[in-house]
Amino acid sequence: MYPVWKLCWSNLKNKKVQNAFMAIIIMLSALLLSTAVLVINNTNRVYEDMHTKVNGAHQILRFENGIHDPYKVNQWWAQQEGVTTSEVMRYRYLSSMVHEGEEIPNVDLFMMDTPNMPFTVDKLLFVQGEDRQDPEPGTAWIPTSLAYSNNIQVGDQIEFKTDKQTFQLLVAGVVVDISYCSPFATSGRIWMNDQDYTTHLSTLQGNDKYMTEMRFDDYSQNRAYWGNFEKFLGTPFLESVKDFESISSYYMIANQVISFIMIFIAIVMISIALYTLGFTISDAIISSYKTIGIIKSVGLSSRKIIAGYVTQYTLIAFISVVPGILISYYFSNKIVSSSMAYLNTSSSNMNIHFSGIEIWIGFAVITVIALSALLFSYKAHSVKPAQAVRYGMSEKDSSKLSRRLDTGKSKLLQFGRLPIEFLIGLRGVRKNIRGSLLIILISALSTSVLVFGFMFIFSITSIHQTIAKWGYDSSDLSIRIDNPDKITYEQLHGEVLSDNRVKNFSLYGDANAVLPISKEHAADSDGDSMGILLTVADGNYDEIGYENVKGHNPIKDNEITIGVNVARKFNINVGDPLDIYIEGEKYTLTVTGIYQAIANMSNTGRITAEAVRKVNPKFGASLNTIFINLQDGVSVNQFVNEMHKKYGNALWTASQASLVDEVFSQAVTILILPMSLMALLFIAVTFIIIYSICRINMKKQSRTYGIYKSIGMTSQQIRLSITAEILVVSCIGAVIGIPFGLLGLPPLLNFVLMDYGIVEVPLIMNGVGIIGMILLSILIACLGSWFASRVVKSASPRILTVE
Amino acid sequence: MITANSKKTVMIEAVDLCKSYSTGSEQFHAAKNVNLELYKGDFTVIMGSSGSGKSTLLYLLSGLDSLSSGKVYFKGQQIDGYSEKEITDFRSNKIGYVYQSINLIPDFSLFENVAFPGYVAGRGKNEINMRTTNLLKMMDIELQADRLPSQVSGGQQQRAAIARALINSPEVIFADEPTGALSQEQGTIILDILTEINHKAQSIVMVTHDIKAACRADRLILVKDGQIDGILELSKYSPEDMKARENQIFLFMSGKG
Ligand SMILES: Nc1ncnc2c1ncn2[C@@H]1O[C@H](COP(=O)(O)OP(=O)(O)OP(=O)(O)O)[C@@H](O)[C@H]1O
Ligand SMILES: [Mg+2]
Repeated sequence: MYPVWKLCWSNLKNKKVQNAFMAIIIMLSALLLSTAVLVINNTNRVYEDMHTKVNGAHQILRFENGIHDPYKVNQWWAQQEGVTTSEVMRYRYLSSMVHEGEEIPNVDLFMMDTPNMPFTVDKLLFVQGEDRQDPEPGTAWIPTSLAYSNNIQVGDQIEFKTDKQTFQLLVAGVVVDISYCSPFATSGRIWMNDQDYTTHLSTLQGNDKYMTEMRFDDYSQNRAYWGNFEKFLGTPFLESVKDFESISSYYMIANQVISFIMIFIAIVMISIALYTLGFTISDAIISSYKTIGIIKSVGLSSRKIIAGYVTQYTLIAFISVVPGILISYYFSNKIVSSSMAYLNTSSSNMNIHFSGIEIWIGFAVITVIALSALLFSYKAHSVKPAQAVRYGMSEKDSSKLSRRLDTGKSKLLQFGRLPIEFLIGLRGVRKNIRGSLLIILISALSTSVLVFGFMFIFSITSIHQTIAKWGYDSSDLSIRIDNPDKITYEQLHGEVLSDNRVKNFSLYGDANAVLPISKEHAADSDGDSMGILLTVADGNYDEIGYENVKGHNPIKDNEITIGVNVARKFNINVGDPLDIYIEGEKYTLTVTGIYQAIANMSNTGRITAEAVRKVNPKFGASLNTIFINLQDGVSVNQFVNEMHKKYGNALWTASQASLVDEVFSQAVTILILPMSLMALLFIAVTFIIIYSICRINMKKQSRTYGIYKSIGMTSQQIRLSITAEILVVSCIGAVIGIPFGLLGLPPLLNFVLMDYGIVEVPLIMNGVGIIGMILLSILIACLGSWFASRVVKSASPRILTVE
Repeated sequence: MITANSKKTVMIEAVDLCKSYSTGSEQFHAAKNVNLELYKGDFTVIMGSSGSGKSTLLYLLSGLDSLSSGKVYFKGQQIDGYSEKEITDFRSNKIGYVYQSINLIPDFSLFENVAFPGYVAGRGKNEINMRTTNLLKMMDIELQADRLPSQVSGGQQQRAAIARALINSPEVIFADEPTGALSQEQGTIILDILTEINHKAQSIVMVTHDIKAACRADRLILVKDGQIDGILELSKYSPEDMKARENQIFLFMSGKG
């Protein structure tokens, strides 16, 4: 065993820089891999712990159209074995709220008449404020998501607007309300005192709506319950159901995207590390051909030499994997606690848990490294000392090389055609095929990752441009009539909509619908129905700027378009007929288009107001939002400000741009930091690898550089020739990497986001940025080689030729 | 002992030249306080036992290595103070160096190895091709012109290395045992070539172990333990009278022990 250690130790000692770099790369890949796994695991765990702790709901039924009797339904569920139900809770919708004089737009507020505590399902956890039976009159409890994102504290006053009046409530509690406080959510439950609810909300137009929540002992059995439930009802359930998957998905989405990218990059890095390792080992074998020959001649078997290499790299892997995994706890803790902040209470356990998977990851990385070391060092078997002395490589390799140098005698590479720096550089590419291939691979990867990463971040930050492809409208602004007593639609039409700056407008509202699952799909889903949210427009969908992945927007009164996830679940295509219950009435419509939307994970549909009116001629009250496009050249902001001044509280007006910011600023903040960090890591790794490849190469070539120097080449010229070699190679890599980054990686992202309702992530190609990234990756490569060639500068020809 | 001949012009001058190599913790002094003048047009030979510091001295005089202390002048200019541009210009146009260990560029053919310094010096392609062809012919390796160094014999490599040193017609040629890898006859041919070049006013500084080779010199410098142990003027003996020169060198060497 001693000779193995001796060999391993001398390898470790003599190539400190290379070994250190290898260690860094292995550490980074272990770090990323382990962070990704920890983030996914712990996001799930934190969420599930919390869900169990508060007895979280699996399904939430909302009764908004008076089709079913909420109390009877609730009673039925309460009688079922293995199901816990909440009380029936009254509520009304409001869609905006004012805090410290600032309007918080674009929220769906469920104004809840708080039933008596303790809750059986979805218990509230107090982060701030006093845990009481119910909120005192004049006060309300609000969810953490609303409080944190708008900086609302206990003791602050919040103001609500109804059709009739505005009223204020004091925030007395900030609560974790697990079903309604996820990131990116635009809805939240405001828990009010019964008395306040009765005075301010019950008196409003329309009827109270009702909500009841169910928790199953075994959620996987819910289909069976639903079968019985619909038998009990005698019809499908025709009001809306929100289920566990959609409740939990928003907690997961950001972390899933980040983790996916991390795993991808980690795998790429490990592959690079392995390839570099192979390169390093076979190079070490070649450059110590003579030594190996001598070692062999003194009686050390090849097996021991191989064991020396394997030990060396296993040691390096072990030394780097352990800190990598340890550091990953810190990173994943940061990521999880920031994305799960809304669930954080003083008593909740947000700390990252250690799991056996970590040990497996570490073990797997070490094994992979050790096995590759074994594979690559197998070459040592065939070293013949005599050949080593003459060629510095095996005879086979030598003749292969001279054949390549021979056949590669292109005109271009003849002396006198190119400046000598370039000529030598190009010849270096031809000679050093293995190293060149490695650099091509690395710069291709770094180009593709940088180009793709840039494109992704750029697309998210300039989402305004592609907003229709994320399922939102792309009109200039929207107006909502909040107080019809002060201004009616007719007035608005006369005063605003006929303004000659307005190009076109459409009325917009939503409606709940239910899709019964037909017999052919019942096999795997036990006869169920699915609630979807319908967008209803009185006007022109094309003008509002809605887009489809396939087909066209609904125009006629029998047409509908559906979200991709509805289409997938029901296996519907463009042209198919669709049975749908809208507010309790049955319609048969034709699907004219399929679209993607991140909102509600594409579990939605779009129809025209005429379609609804065919069965329900009075339909129209819910169409209280108006999308407006202005004439070209009219300033949207100015128009919006004018509206604010003129109508104040009676109208709610916001430009599309500000609404988009509202929704996506969170996504941007959550994504940008980890993405930029990973880009930096990638840049660092690319630099490190190219630097070390160049160092390896230069060691081999140092004699040649010494000769160049002694016949009068300047060190600048020599370094230029080395950099020219890398420039050529990394440009080739970039050329290969560009299409991969632009076309190869986006489908992977589509795959991740498919469940969230986006099948084709709308990426924006920004030419300048993409070219910038390409140049960046080439620059990194050139810098790596330029830095690696520093030794040429100071060393004298004697040192270079002798050592 | 005959000292500097005042009629000759000094080409290279070394003043208190020192060079030490560090071997781990210790310093090894391979050149100690060397004071030396080499003259224009001279054929100078450096002799000494193995490890005495001949190669070291040659590196220092030719500007291929840095000094530990002291000064080296080339035609009155201090080369250890040269800027990078000046030193490269010096290496490229003023000197040619033949390494003891040959040092051809392994992935250039012999032709390219010889031609390459021409390109570095910025000569025209046609001129370089002509010179290279002539030199290869002179060295009798024109048949191997397109082979790589690893595909020819040691002697052929050595001749290519000499041809490379000659391509830019330098003022001084430094040659570290240029006949070491050659047979008797081949060695003689090379020495003849060097002598002929020398007659065309190119100075030559050659390290050798071979007394026969040393007979070609105008001056012989004996090195011992990194110091000059003695200088023998050979120019006063007729070049035709090889026997006399050989005897003188033999006497000189044995006198030094
Ligand atoms: N890089 C080095 N580090 C330490 N010692 C060195 C180094 N290079 C040479 N030496 C020592 O310096 C002394 C002079 O070396 P040099 O190569 O000049 O000898 P030389 O006279 O040319 O020998 P030879 O005739 O064998 O070529 C020797 O003793 C050698 O061991
Ligand atoms: Mg020597």
